[in-house]
Amino acid sequence: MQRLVVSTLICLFLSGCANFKGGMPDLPFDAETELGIVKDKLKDEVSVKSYYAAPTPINRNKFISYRLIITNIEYLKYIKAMSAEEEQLHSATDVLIVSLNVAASAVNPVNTKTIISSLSAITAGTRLAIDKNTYFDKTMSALISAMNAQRKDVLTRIIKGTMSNLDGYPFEQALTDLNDYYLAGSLPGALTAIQKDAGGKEAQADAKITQLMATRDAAFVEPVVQNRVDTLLDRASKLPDASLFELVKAPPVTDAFVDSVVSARDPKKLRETDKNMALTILKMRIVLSQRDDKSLVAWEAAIKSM
Amino acid sequence: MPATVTTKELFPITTSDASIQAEIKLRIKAGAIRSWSEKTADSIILYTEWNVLGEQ
Repeated sequence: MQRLVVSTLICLFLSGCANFKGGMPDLPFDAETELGIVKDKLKDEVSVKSYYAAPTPINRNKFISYRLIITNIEYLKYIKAMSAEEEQLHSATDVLIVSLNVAASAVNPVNTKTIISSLSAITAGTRLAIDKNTYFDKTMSALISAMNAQRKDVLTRIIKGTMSNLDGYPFEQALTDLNDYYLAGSLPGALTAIQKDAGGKEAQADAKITQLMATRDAAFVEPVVQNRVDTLLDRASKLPDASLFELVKAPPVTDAFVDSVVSARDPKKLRETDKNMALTILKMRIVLSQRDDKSLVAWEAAIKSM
Repeated sequence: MPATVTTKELFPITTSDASIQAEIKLRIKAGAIRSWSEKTADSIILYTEWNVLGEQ
């Protein structure tokens, strides 16, 4: 009886998976038949050899169009296999393994409690398999999007080329572009495009990092000087808003280094309208500013007067 | 990656560790993201990373 219950459930699970089409519908034409016809036609009428026998723009474009058709049909088959059939295969395999493991443990025990816990394990295991394949599907979708984008780029180049004469778009260039078109529709091509895109973004982010330099002397780090700076920071935190804006707008001590850092950190001049930004910039000015006695006295006097 | 500004300050090689640590504390207190030192043959370099205001 137990064996029957478990077997029935396994069958239900597997039949459910078999009915799930997922991903993409079947192609609305017989790809194999059409590909065969086009391939035969290409073989009979258009080839590199036949082009060189009569090198004209028309024959070049004929060759290009046949190659594009074949590449496109193969690509459709390729992505259909990746996003639907492969996914189904993985999901079905995972469910099958989980189901068989559970079945093995459920055959020997005799009490009802064991059967229920085993059935529960089937459900959890199945969910795990489906979740894993959801991530797989999302990754594949991203890669297919990258491939589609790359292919469109190359296709634009090819279509522009077909409008030129043989000097403007030589047959050899067309062959290279057709090869690029084929590679653009492959996983390595998609990964290269993604890496290139990420590299570009990283370079942009790097460009946003600004580095500014100053030279300090021994007096700058005297403990008594550091204590005065620390006290100034505490007092700056207690300043009323109006005083903050006033000091940040017209600091008592300025120098080119600190001004550059302020401009880089606050290019939108948020310090002039936002009190938190004003305090942030004021504190940074105090810490990075010159620390000769005259400068420190100027800071202390300015803050005390507020 | 959020935009940042990094300041680089060169201190005499004779500067004590305690003084450098005190400088790091001051910069953190003033709102720096992080601050760290690196020793070279002739100086101690204090790097401090600051966020760019209004950018995340």
